[in-house]
Amino acid sequence: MALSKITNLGTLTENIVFQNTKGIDFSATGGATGANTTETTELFEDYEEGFWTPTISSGWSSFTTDFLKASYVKIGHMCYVTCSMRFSGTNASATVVIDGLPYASQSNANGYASGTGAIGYANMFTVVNNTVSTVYVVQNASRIQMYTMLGASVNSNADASNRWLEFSAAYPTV
Amino acid sequence: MAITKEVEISKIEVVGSWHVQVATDTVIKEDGTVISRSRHRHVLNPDSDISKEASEVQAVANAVWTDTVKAKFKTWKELQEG
Repeated sequence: MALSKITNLGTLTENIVFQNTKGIDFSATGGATGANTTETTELFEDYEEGFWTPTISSGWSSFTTDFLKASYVKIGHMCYVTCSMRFSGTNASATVVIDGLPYASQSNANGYASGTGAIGYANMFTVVNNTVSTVYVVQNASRIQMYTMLGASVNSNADASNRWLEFSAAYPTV
Repeated sequence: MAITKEVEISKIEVVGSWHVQVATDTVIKEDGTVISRSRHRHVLNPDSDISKEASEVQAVANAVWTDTVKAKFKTWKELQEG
C-alpha cells in the first residue's frame, strides 16, 4: 500500500516495523553541500541500544572489575559507546587495549583510526609526559586502544585495583 | 504470577571479511508476557575463543573462518601490530 500523503497518524499503539535494509528515506530533503563533502546515504535504516562487555586484551595478565557499565547506541551506521568500570584487580603495567566493542568498525588505512573518543576519568594510567590521553578505535576491528595526543601508548598502573576508567567513543560500523 | 528469564541469541551477522557479530537478548516475562528485554552484543574474530559460544554461533564462525579468511586476518593483524 502506497501512502502518498499522511496528515495525521494519531497515536500509534504498535511499533513501526521495517524490513532489513529498509527505513526512513530523507532523500527529498537537502543533502550535504560542503565543497569537499561526499554524501553516502539519506536512508535511516537502523537503531539499536544495548550493552557490551570490555574484555582483556594482550598484555594484561588479569582483569577483573567490581563495577562495570558499558552501553551502546547505534544510529544508522554510527555506533556510540560508553564505558565506566572500576578494577578490582589487575596485574598489568601494560598498554591499555580493550576488546569487545559491540560492532566491528569500518576499515581505514593501516595505522589510522576508524573512530575516536575521549576519556572522562581515568586514575589507572601512568601519565605520559603530562599529555592528554585519547581513545582510538582500531580500524576493521572491535578494539579500543588508548594513546596520548602525541601518539604514545598509554600504560595502566602495575596495580590498578580500585581505580577507574571511564570513556566514550564514536565510530562508523561495517 | 510467574516471572521467567530467558537468554536468546537474536542475531548472528557476518560483516566484512571475518567479523561475526552476535546479539544476545535477555528477556524477562511475567506469565508469558514480555516485560523487559535488554540486548548485549559482541564481535568474534578468527582469533577469538569460541568454545563457550552457543552451538549455532560456533557453526557460523567455523563456516566463515576458512583457511583463506584466517590467512587474510593474520595478515591484517600483523600489519596492525607491525
